[in-house]
Amino acid sequence: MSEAHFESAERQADAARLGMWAFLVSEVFLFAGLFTLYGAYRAAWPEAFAEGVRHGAKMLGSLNTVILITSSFAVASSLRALQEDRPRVALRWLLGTLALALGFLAVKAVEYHGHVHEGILPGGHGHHFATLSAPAGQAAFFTLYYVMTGLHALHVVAGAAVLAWLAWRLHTGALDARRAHVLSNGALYWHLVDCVWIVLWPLFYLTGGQA
Amino acid sequence: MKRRDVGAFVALLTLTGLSLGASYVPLGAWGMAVALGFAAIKVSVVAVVFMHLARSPRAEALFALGAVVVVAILVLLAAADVMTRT
Amino acid sequence: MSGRTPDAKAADTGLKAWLTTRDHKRIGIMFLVATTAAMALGGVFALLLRLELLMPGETIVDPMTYNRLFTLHGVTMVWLFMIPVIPSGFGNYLLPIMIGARDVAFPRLNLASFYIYLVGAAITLAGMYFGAADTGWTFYVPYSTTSAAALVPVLLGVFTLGWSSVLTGINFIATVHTMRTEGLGWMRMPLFVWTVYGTSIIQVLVTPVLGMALMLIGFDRLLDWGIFDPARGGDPVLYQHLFWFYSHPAVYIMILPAMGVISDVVCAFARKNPFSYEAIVWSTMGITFVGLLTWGHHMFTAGMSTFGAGAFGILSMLVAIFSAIKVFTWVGTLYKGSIALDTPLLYVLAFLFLFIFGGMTGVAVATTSLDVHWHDTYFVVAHFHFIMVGGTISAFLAALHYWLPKLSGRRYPERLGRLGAAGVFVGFNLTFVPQFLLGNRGMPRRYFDYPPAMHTLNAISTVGSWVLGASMLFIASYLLRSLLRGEPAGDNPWGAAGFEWRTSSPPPVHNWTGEPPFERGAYDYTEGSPALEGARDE
Repeated sequence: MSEAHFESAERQADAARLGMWAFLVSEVFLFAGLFTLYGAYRAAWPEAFAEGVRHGAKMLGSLNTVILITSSFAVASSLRALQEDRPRVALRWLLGTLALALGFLAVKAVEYHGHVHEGILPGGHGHHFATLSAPAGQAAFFTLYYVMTGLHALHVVAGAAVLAWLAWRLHTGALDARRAHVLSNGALYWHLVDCVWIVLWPLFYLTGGQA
Repeated sequence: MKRRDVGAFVALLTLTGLSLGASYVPLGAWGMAVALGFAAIKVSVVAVVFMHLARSPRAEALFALGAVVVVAILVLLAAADVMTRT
Repeated sequence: MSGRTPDAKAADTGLKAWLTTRDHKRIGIMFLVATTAAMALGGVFALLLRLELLMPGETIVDPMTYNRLFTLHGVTMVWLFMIPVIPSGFGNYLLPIMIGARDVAFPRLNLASFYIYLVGAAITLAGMYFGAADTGWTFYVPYSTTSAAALVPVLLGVFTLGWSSVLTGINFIATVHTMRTEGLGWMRMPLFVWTVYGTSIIQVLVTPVLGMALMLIGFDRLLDWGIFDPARGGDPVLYQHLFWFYSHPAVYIMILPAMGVISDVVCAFARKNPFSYEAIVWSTMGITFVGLLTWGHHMFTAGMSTFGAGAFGILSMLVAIFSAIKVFTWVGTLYKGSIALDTPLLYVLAFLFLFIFGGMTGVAVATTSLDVHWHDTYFVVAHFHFIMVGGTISAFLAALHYWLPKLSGRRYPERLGRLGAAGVFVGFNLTFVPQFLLGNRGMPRRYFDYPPAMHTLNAISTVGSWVLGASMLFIASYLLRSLLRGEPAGDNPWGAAGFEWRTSSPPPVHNWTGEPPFERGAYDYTEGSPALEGARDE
């Protein structure tokens, strides 16, 4: 029993897309609890959270925002090309997306390395917190920072793996215009990774004013 | 139709720039609202244009909207408790 | 339509064929076997707990073992049995048939969710047994971050089980949306399908929140991140928010499909259309949504704000409106029906009685001022067991008896069935009614001891648990016997109009030999209904 049980190819594509959307919703809820904690703890320590944001790597975070937005455009263009039956063009866009994904992770690694070097580790560990008179707020901020951006980075890794697999299938010709919904689902996942980052960016890099 | 994607891309970059710029303006308590406002617009652009939500079956748009609503319920009801404790 | 095509079992009955099957019927049966085994295990733990409480003081176990036992009981019953049993078990078997499909939308994913369940169950059980988990099924911080027990494997196990639940939910959502047969509109779907659909939505929305909350406890235990640690300014009540944002809707994951079973069974045995199909559908979706807004009522006395408690109290009471609509429609369906008092309907009647009892006490504990007295007492224990055991297990037994002929092509002995139902009803009330009284007198839950003044009621409750346990054993024995040697049932032994009865019992591999005959509705008992073609032997 293979996918032959669908009435038609369109139905199969519909089911696959709807299933992917439902999965994306569950992914959003993986982050939802963390947003709740962020909101509650920011309300408890507004000044420490603002200080934490000011301490963050604003430029690296903003660079990553541009990288992910560009990658979203690239994967959308790849899908467009495949739907227009130009698989070689689709492959080029997809490889571009993949390169941007790896670029994002590289920037992220530099950023984490910088924090570790400054003595900022999750859970209020590290020498940075020893210098503070009341470290609780910043400790909470940076724990959430590591958990939320770390979970997001894991999604980037997973997304990049999916993109690489799709690129391989495009390369071998196993993925063609008739099965474009497979690429469409991969693209949907990648867009979600982008959307999550679009929300994380202000929370951890921009809102350092007096909140 | 490709122009649509390019338009969305340019809009996203512009919004990113504006959002970054706004973060240098001392907006006080409004800073968070402004930053999240930009984020909401950007997520909408990605969802509607890149993820084709506008042209999707109704169910998909309903799921996406429903998810946002329920996340908001979780965050707001939990916040309502935390912020009204005495 | 009941041609002699090779049916699901005749195709290939080897072990390997079962373990690698993508047939939703076989996956459903495997889920039923696994979850029923989990129920038996959880039941043994319950009997041990009650045995300890037979007498004041230490009876059979020491206090720490008692803590481990109630953790084992809660975790096993909630995550290994109650959450998956009706959706993943009966839902898997019946949902595609009820919408005229040949399988679920993603059969391979379906099999994957079964294996994820097995792996999660194995990790959870082994983790609790070897790790001496003693936190109860709720894993409340700060105890769960400081307890000497090894908790991380259990947390990982429950996290894994959650993904099985999410994947099944995704699969069913896509199936209901895209696999309905030609002409089967939303408002013609069987009510059981509606409830499984609502359940699937809840599973997809809330399960990941629990997963993440449990992971945070894991980080805290392994890496000392202290995200909920009050000593570092953290807020343990936030953990409770996240936990109950999942675990309260989880109650609806358990009870909604049970309500679907009741709706379908009540129509089949009153031989009528439902009193109001639309009201049942909209109350199902109402519970699905409002159920997401009520989680805070578990935390009235946990340090939540007065404002929060008031808001959650009122929101919680809204659920009672939708539940009451359902109860009225079931009773309305029975009214002037042509009632056949067979075993499945007996369980429905038990369900109605126990669910009303459980639901009304639910409104009582949602009242914040009353809850201050009842919180964490046996009153609450009795309340949720009335919903979980009286509701879900009654519906599970109704479903088991109603659909056994569908699954196996064989009948169970009706007289023994009625006897078993009576035993369950008596045993259940004997066990849990005294617990309401004990709770009202202030006996706290999760204690292994109590003052001698509370001995009589505790002893009655323990004797009740024996009646309940013996009845379940009795039911299991005659059902197993029927599976092997029961009378052949024919395709439609109940003369029911439901879509699932319009194919052979058990159905062929692809469910239908031709186009599914869905012209007449699933509750159509008027002249010319497919139900009237079925042989009704009583």
